[in-house]
Amino acid sequence: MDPAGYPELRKFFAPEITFGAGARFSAGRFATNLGLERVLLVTDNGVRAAGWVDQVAARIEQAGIAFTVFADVTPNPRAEEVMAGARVFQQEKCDGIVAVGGGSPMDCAKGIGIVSSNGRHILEFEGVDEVRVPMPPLICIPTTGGTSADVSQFAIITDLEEHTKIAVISKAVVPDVSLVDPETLTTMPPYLTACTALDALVHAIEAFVSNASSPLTDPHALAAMRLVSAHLVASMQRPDDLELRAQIMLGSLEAGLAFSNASLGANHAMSHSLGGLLDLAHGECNAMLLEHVVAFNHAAAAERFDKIGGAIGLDLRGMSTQGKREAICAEVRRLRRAVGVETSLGSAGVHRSDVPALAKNAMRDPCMVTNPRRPNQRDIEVVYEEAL
Amino acid sequence: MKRRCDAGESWEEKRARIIGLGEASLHKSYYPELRQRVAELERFRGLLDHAGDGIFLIQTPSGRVVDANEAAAELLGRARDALLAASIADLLPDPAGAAVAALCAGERREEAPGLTIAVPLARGDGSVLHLEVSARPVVFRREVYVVAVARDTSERRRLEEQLQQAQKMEAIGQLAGGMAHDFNNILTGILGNVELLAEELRRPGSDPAAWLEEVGRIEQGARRAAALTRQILLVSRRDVVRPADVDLNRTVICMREMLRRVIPEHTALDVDLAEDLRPVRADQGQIEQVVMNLVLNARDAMPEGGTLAIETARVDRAALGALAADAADAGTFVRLTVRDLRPRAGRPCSCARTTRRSGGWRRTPSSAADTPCSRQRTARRPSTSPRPARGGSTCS
Repeated sequence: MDPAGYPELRKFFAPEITFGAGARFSAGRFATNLGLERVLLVTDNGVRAAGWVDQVAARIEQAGIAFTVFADVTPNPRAEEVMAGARVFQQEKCDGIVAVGGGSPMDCAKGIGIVSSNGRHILEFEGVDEVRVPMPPLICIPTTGGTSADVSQFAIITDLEEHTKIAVISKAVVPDVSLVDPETLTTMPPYLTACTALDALVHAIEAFVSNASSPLTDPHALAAMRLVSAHLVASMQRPDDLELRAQIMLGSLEAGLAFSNASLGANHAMSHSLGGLLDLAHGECNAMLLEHVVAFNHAAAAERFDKIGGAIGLDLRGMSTQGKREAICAEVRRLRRAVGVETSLGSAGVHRSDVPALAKNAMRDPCMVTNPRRPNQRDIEVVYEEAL
Repeated sequence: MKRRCDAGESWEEKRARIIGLGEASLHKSYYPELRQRVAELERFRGLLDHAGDGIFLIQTPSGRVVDANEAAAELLGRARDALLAASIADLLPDPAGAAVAALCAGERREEAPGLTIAVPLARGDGSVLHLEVSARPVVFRREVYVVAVARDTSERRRLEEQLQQAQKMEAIGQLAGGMAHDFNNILTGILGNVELLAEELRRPGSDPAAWLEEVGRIEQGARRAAALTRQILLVSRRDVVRPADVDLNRTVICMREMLRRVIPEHTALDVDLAEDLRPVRADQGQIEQVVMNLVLNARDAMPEGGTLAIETARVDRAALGALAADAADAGTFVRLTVRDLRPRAGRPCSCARTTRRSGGWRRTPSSAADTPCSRQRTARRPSTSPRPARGGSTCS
């Protein structure tokens, strides 16, 4: 609220979303409606092996649209992969992109679109609103419940030379269409299910305590926290229960809508830095840092953390501020243990000597500017050290 | 590669941009780009419409016109909308229309060579335009089209005809001086004989049998005068082309005196005619023009004088190589050679050469081995024409 009591200006961006079982089958219709004639189908080999790509390709083909598959995408997509994909896009004279997969193929697809329209190297678009020429139509079909790249304005690309990840943040990167199909979660391995769902939880918590949160994003963030915390463990125990999968997928979508508009915070800034150094799974990085970042930020947004406590099923009534903070951190730890994501930074291979460089990179990350508490580099180093 | 650097920007400014409050914060909008592209397209359309040539984009294999510029509409005297979806075969006169339609419908048309055809176009107002239609296949977005360009060559043809006529007039001017002198000599002879005859007639008792010789001389003089007149008319006329069996030897013999008059005195005229020459199918007037032009060129190439040689020969198809490659029929050919033999051997030829086709005639440029340079024309003989008697022909 500004001094006059009116809300600050806020915007809300979202793609055209279709949610529900079988949403993936409408890829051909959307491609037709977007006027596409030849699409680049961006995916990775794991998703391809699961069979989702063939199903989507068949629908595209039935719509009379030609396609070329680009599957040379690794976890944490690299700038070189983006540039290779953009070359294929141009060589094959594609006019649109369909991304099928988790965050990596979707972020790579965004990068390919940006490079194809703007004709420059993807690393030149690091930062905010640097994408000036709109990219070709992009249809996303997420197959993991957590990254929300299908609705977000973010594309995270790994710069191998600099051992870091760069964030491309632009409203022009928000996909045109998101086909969110919970059935695609059924082929996810349990550990990936856990990591991506915890990622969605971090998205929701960071968006809710972001200094850019707003009445437009708060309901999405709170809904996401409720859905993920209530259904994650059960979903892990009953992986074939489509209704549980749908709750997790919906939670991921709600978190994506929240963080794409309210942005994130220190957790993601530090996670991006960590992922650039060690090539660790993004969700895993976020999960390792969450309780430590919550502890660091709690005092700066105590009332909001109270609501977070309520959303994840805690009764914080009668507790001291410190008690509430400890209760939330403990719940995060419990949830991690319950789904088997217990790695620490130290066990993942991070050394104390890595911490200054990690913190330096994290301080430069755009996600840091919406953290509820403004840190200095030493603050961040301390949080990393606590997570070792 | 350069990385973007936003050092110096405050966290507040960066935050405002992240949450969509920056100046460049815009979801996807193709509209500014679209407007720019439309403006470019309009500019290009203007360029196309004001091109002097009519341009058609034709769908294949249907031969339907999918786009055409304003110049095409003006050229054909129709509204542009009327051209769209019309068949190119209906729009362009044959053989151009049929040839372009065939190009559109052909197998492997995307690899077909282009074509160029000259064709007259009768317009609604009764005027006739001379069009040169060029067409070639192009591929847009994996679809094969044919682009046809129709150029109005009427003005160019008119200028070429004017130039040809001017060249003829120049030759006539050169002839006229010499011929006036000859004509005067003939008239002097005729008048002298007439006076002589009158005197004989006035003399009582003169023998009329003795007058016949004088009358014969008068007649001979008058015929020579008539022959001279015919030669001038022959050069100056603009007849339509009438292919007929033409004896090249007889043509050269008949033109010999006239040619002698257009070359300077210090240049010798050497004529060497083949014994076994057969007639060729051509227009007599055009052949005479060709001979005259070749001789004038040879004359101009040796201002210091020398020998101007005219030869005819019978040659086999094999000896012509590529020149006769597309000849439909087998058989022999006839060659007419005009050479400028300059006194100093080895001096390079300074004259320009052109290769041009006219009916069954080709001008063959001299090869590098030809020293001094030669100008040749080769004509195919008619396969059925009888061989004319040599030496008995007259110049009429």
